[in-house]
Amino acid sequence: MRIFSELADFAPDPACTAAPGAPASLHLPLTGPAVLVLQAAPLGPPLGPPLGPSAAQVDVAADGRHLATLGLEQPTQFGVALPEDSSHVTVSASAAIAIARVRLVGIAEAAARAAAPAAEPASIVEVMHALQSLGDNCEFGIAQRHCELEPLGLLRFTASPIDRLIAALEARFAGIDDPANLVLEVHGDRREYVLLQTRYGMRTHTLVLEHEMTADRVLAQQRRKLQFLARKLIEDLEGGRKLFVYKRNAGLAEAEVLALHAAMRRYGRPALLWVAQADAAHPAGSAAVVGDGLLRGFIAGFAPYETALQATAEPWLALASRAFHLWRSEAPVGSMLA
Amino acid sequence: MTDADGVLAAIRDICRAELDDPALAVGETTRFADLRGWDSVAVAGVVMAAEERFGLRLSSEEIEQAVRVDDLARLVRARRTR
Repeated sequence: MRIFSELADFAPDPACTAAPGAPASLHLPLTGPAVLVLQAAPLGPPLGPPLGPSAAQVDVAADGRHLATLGLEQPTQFGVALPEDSSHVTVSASAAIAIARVRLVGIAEAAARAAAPAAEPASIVEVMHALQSLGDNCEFGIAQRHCELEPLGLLRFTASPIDRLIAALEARFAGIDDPANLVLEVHGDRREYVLLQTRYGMRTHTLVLEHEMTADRVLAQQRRKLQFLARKLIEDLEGGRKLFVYKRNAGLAEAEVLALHAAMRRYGRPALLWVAQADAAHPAGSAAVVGDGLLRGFIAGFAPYETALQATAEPWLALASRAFHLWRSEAPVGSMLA
Repeated sequence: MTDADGVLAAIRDICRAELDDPALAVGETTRFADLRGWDSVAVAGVVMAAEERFGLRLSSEEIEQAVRVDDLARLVRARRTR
């Protein structure tokens, strides 16, 4: 299995900036593959909601080889996979940006070792209560509902692109309930209100149908709820009592997951369960500890996005139990349950 | 009316308002999950209203442990006497 370990984590001193014609340089002699995670923010216009599309286009290259291009709209973290022989990374930007923190995460292949079985197996209710979705869609939240659980969760019924989720974490969800950032849409044959938070690109099921409530009332209710649930999520991230779950049906790149994990770690030591589709090498229901506070798990398949509200809990239960045990027992990196 | 009665009555009123049902039967031993229309929106609404009504903040752990109406009432009373 591929495991991840932190090689470096530092705040550049003096402050590291990149501007048109003046790229930032980072010297990072590597002996193996790694992911570079940069915490960066646009400079210039006052930072506030939202800066608009592509406030800065950022290009990352290693030893003259172009690696990635991305738009930097607001303070965020992003990851870039580095070739194993990289020694000199340059960050170019179309508008001035500041790089506040640099993390280098090494990637190694390690043999999985079986974790000890649970001394006192937890009930599935306890397990599903301890896990909290960070979004992508409502599938895990629906699985919790099948277990007769209705836990609070800002992102339980929310779809949000991972780069926007990272920006939201970076900003501590500032402005999440600002009316200027909220749009109410009506979706599907059922005509359900769906709330769009434009700054963080979050689309949230309200589970309220158009004929049940006026739009103004739903919006007022949702604003209050967003503010409250953002506070609860921050408390949960800081408290370390939850194992956070994230997936994307099409799969996630290691660099994306490591950037998300780094953004979460700004709150303390919350753990992340990165869920992917099972394959021949990774059986459905298996889970492994692949880094400090980072687990990877596999399920047979994800519900299609358009029918996720009708998803069943079964694909999640075995994975959730194993991941919970690994996390709760603080199993070392490389431990696996299948 | 004792303080305990007052807290219970306030929680009952909050549940009825949040679930939009003035006749909702809410007793001391009622499980929140058994209330008609109970879902995550209702959880958030009841907790927010309780925090505002009683002037306190509840942690996620406390919310998860408040399974019945009297669990929440006990929690509120304990906080008030601190």
